[in-house]
Amino acid sequence: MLFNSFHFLVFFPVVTLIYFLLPHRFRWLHLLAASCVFYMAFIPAYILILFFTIVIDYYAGIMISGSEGKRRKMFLLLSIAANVLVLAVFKYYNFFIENVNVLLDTLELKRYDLPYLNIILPIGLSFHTFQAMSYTIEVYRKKFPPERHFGYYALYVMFYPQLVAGPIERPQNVLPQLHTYHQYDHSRMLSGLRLMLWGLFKKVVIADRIGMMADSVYNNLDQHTGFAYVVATVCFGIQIYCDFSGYSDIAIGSARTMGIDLMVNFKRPYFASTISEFWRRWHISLSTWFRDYVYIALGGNRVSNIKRNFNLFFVFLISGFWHGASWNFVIWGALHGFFLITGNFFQSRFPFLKQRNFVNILLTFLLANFAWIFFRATAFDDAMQVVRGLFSVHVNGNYFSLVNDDFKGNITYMGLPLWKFALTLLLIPMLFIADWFIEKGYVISFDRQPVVLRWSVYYILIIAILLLGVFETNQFIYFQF
Amino acid sequence: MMKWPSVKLCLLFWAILFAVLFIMGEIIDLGVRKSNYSHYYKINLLANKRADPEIAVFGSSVGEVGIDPRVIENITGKRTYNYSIDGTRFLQYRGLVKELNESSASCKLVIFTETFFSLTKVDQLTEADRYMAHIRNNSIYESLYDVQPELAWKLKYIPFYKFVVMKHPYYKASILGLKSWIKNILPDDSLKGYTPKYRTWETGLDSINKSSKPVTIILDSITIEKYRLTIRELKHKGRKVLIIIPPVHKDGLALLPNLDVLRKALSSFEEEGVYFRDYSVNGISEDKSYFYNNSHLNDAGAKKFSGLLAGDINKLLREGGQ
Repeated sequence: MLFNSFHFLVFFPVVTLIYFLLPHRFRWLHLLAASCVFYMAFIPAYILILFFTIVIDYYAGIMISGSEGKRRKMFLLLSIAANVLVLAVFKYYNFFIENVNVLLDTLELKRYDLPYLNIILPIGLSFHTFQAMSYTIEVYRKKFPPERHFGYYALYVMFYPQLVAGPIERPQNVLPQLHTYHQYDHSRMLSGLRLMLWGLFKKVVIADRIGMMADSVYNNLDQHTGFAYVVATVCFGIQIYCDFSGYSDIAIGSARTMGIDLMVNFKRPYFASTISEFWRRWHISLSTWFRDYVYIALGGNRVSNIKRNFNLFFVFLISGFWHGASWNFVIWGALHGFFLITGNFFQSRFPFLKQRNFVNILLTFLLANFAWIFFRATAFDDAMQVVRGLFSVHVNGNYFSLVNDDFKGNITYMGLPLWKFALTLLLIPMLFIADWFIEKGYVISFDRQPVVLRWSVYYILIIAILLLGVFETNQFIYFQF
Repeated sequence: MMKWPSVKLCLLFWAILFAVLFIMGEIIDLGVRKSNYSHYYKINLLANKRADPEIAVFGSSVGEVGIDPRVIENITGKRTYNYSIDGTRFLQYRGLVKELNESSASCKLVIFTETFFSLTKVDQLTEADRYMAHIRNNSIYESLYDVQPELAWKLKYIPFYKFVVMKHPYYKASILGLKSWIKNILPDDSLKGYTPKYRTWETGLDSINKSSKPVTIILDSITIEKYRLTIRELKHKGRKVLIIIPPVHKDGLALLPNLDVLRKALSSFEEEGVYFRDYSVNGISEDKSYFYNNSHLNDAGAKKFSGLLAGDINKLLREGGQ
């Protein structure tokens, strides 16, 4: 079920209302059933995959806590292997086969094509497998006792707000909250709804509208040139931020209405002044997952500089691979790793490079956006075409020209009619102004503003969503991961 | 628990929102219903029961760009209007035909302009927002429901759902409609629903045709039954019905190897007392200068074809003693 669908508009109030009407002892069952309905709205049969990992990890948690030494480690490895196996089969198998086929062909050893699996990637697979793994790792590290109640454990993995695109939660944060009785709290309800409203606005008004501009260029690269590539790439940077942070806001907001706090996933990443700060603000639940379970496991900061840089680069490589089974994602991860390591190197020698100022923020923004080229392009050749063409001049001789003719001979701006183009461009400064307000903490004092002002803002957002929103089966980009 | 003042505030918040959206929606819809803009005007004429030509033409873009009512009027002397709407198949515009049938006093002949996809299965509405202002009209609602039940139902019964379906042309139609309503601006209806295309054969189309795979026409029995029902309703009111397949360029015909399936289905309606004329293979079909693509006539082609059609209409009306 999509957060920006009519079904969710019915689902959410019904589930929340029943949640508060039910006695505490039945709430887990209600939320679990609701989460199943939510997940099965995509491809119902795939719930069996989820069930498979839930059962394995549930028992693995109990076995880990009841064992010591090698046996303990064995159960952890078993749990991780089961999760990785699911990921390998459903997400990476075809990528692996494709590359083996290419390799065999290159070496002239190919007798026949190795078969591909004709399957659709289960939605949010990487998110819930990572969340499940964080549970068994935490139990193994004795930071969290195993959950004995199967229903609560299943709910921890399946809790609908964060099931398909995170935040990738930790058991310490969520499981105790699921066990706790939450009374209806009006201020939490308001705060949750407000966050959902803002998230939905970011998704359907900003992300999906700006996405049209990015799509019109990236889907027709030959028809565009340098400056259009730059604008389309920046648009994609804004799109993916609004799309994913919008999803996270709706997820956090909907959980908050029921009294459950999920972790913050985004903190205005485009205000970061270094790449390392960018990653402390972007997809925080994933970057901290890699930090806690991979980077620290590799030695963290307690190793030599060279080893540390190697580890950082490795973590970013696999982070790229986590996003998708494609070399483009790996390159995207590698670019971030490279930016981070070189950034650390230069910042240690020239401290002004890590000062918080407009130039450093702009530089970080441009670097992050350059990397997005590989994330957005559907193939490596397309990404290289964009990179090579970034400074190519438009056919009319003006680098900054964005004008093109469509197939009917009408003048378009990056493939869009003028009104759509202008509206889309207006949304970019609007987003940054809104984020600046949030960054400066003015939103906290928003609650103390007169009711007329607050309601006016809500009404404007709702009406803007209805009138300017794009509602044409746009999935959230991160669902594919 | 929630305190009473909070409940009251909550109710007030939603009441204001509801009122604002309701008023906004009604004003936008009113503007569209008064609009003289583009296809909205044709739909308004029919849904507001202001359509009363002697000859009415229905169809998709093939009809819209291929039949010039002024030519037919000149030759037959009968008031003619082209109600064809681009991208729209029979199932979707069926409600409009029904509206005409119920309200028109003068209509003697209804022409259906058919193309290869006319009787095929369709499960998605084309530009649903064009019809939205008249969703409470039963005939229109039913025809939309036949194509995409869920969307039609939501548009009719879920408050404010229409806002998520509205597109830019809807707002434009509304603004222009309100403006012309307030200032009492009369529509420029000189083209009588015809959309002339002053274009030549599209560049690159030849190579596209060469690489295109033939289209197999698969007819939909439900659509055929609805078609038959509509014909019977028209006949019941004493109106003549003429079904035509307009000229298709020979390159386009080559991509429709089983067009005979459509011809047979349409000619089977002659049992109901309707006329069927197939112009798909015709002198016009040989000449690219009359087309801008495989199945769409340009203005020169439309003029030539409309003359030819008008001649046949005259014969047909004489046959019936009109």
